[in-house]
Amino acid sequence: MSLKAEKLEHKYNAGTTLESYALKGIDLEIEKGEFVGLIGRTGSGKSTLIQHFNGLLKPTGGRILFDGKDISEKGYSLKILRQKVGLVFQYPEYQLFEETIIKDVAYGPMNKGMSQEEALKAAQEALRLVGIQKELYNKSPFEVSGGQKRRVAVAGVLAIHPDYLILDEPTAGLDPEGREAILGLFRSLHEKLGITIIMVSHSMEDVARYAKRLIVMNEGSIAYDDTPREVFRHTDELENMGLSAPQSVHIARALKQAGFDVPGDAITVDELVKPIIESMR
Amino acid sequence: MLRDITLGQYYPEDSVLHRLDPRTKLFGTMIYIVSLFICNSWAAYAAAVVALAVLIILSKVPVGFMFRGLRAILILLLISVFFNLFFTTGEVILQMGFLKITKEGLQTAAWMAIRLICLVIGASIMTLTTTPNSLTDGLEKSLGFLKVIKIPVHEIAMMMSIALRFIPILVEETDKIMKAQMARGADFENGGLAAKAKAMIPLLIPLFISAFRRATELATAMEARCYHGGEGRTKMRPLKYAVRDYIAYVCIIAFLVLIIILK
Amino acid sequence: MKQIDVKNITFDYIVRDENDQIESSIRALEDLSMEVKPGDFIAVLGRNGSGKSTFAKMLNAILLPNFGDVIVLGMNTKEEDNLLEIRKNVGMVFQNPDNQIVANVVEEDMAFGPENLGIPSEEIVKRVETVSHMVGMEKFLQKSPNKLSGGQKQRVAIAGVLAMKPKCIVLDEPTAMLDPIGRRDIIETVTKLNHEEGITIIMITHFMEEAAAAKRVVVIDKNRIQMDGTPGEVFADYRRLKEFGLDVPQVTELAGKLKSAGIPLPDGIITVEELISELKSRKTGT
Repeated sequence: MSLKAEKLEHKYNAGTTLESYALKGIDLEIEKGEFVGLIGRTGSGKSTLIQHFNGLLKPTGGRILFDGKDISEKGYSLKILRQKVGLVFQYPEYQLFEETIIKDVAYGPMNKGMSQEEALKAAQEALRLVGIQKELYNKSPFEVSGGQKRRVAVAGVLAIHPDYLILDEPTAGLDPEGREAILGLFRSLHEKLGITIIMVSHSMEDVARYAKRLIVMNEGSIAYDDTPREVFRHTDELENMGLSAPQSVHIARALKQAGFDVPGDAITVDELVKPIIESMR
Repeated sequence: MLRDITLGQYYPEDSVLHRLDPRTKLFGTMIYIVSLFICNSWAAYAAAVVALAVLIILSKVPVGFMFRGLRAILILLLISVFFNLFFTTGEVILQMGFLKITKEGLQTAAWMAIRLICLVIGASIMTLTTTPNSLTDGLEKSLGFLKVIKIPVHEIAMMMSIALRFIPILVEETDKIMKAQMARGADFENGGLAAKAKAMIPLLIPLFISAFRRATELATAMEARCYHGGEGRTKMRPLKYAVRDYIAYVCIIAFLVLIIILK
Repeated sequence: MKQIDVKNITFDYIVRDENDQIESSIRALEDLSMEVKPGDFIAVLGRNGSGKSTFAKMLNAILLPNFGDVIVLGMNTKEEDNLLEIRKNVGMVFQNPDNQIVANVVEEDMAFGPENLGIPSEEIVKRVETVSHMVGMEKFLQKSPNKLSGGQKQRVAIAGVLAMKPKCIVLDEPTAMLDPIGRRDIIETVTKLNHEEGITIIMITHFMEEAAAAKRVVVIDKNRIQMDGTPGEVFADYRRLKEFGLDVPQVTELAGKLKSAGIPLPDGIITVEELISELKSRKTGT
């Protein structure tokens, strides 16, 4: 099973003088079970790309294949695709609308055609996964804290039981504790339920710690597609694209230049502790 | 999809009409519309058409762009021409079955068409050459006398200007919420009227809440920047008449006099 | 000398029902005191709901304390007559760049504050010219704010505040909605204003790296100030920060881990350079 983009191209305002490429020649395959980080500066095409993955935008060239089938083909059910590929937008709490949290989360399952009873069950299950306590189920989604709203919104997509979960900057605007909590949630969804995670992020520290594969977008194309360790070797190129490697990468480099025997490709703090102690001896 | 909608139809160009004070343009447009209704002879209509042609040339806006505004009133135009043409009594010049065209009908229909076209294009010249902002400024300044009878002119102008700023933002937001609900399986296209109306709830409620949140935040931000109504406010670029505006006023009055003579 | 003196303030958010009866009240600040000196650069940290945003709104009389006083340049925020003078001197920049820009053209937005203050037109033109250079937005004066990036919009908002010639600027999570480039631009702009113009900066943030740029870090939690010191001093207490739902920059975290592994490092390392020079001196020392 996979989600695949083939020579994907997307033009805005095609045929006018304002014509511009948001995506050009994207070739990409994401297998089921991966944890992928997607980074790039604002306007690099990441948001456009993820909206193609569940059919919210139509390619102006190339195609998207889900399990080998072209999703633009006539008769292909986008409705079913959107159940398989869940998309959580940036600031998803702004889409909440129901009177109670449980009803809001049940909205997706109801659209899927579940009975009310089944939908509520799916909603409860999803809320449990994201760690919202039972006492809050019948509260208004507008009464709870910002971090809780965010988790309710994520539950609203999880309740549809997607195989792929795409998250557009899920930590934006959260405090450090909230960031940590929600990232931990995605890791456990990935590890325990085997949900494929595609996470768009501005935070290099986060993708370095959580993603196994990192895709860097620049001006509508893929600049790098590799493990975080390999990608962060290109510190200078990343700077030129308006991105920066995590601080730990800079620390590792600076230490190496100062004559310490540390791995120059370390990407997290923990990887540095032992080598530094050893080189101090 | 929704972001393609552009508001106002300002056409950026550097022409004498663009540089005129918005108050002059407002006054001129008003006089022009009034004069169209005074016209009652071929000579007067000819003068109105010539004046319009001169304005179009002065504005440097492509003629095609000008006439685009007519599409919206095409049906209205056809209907009024049709009725005037066939249902005016008088000297019959052509008879087709029960339909007859009279000499008077022909004239009324032609005048009606000229009047409507001139009206729409005349008004578009103003909106095409004036940014929505300076139009708001112009309205605020020229309607300032209404303050005497307790009409909050400044507040209304401020509201118009804020609406202009936030409409594109809310349009984009609508697009985003719509997509977010579609990702949760919402269907905004299929189903009957009742189903469609029901499907709008998950779109409208978040949009409403968001508009309220923005309004509250903006009000706080304005307060923090010392906003306290129009009282004692100055302007960075206050509207000032230039020589060209005085010349324009003379031309406008001359045109009105001409129409009155020719009518 | 004190520029702002916050004296034992307490504030409750009151929730009223339909009949205007008090339904419940939520405490946001409790007996909080703090002094701000001219030229300070203070980062205010705290988890969501800690009361830090409420605190920010107290500084220019958007909210008034239920108990206690806020004195700005000798003026009490509770006195109606002081309102404009206080807001002119303590400018405020908010989180969402879209919801604080009023005008449809960049230069008009920068002029909004001075216009409200009744400054003569020629003077406003000069001020807009000056502040647009201070934030590096002089090339965008005629643009529509809707065509700018988040970071650029935020710089316009800062310029709009600067045009009132404030002595102090309070920024409430100005970078929360920005990408890394926008974030860096804002921090650079703010730091420059503090260093070159001597404007007092009070910045609320969730990003520890940004707090490291400040001269003083204040941690608010449970409606009170819990920590107050230089970034080095505050970040040295990693455990307490965690308790308040906060974090430290990666370099501080690394230094902390090395220290607990037995390398004798001083507390409060907040830059890569500091860490390396400290490690070097230890290395040559042994």
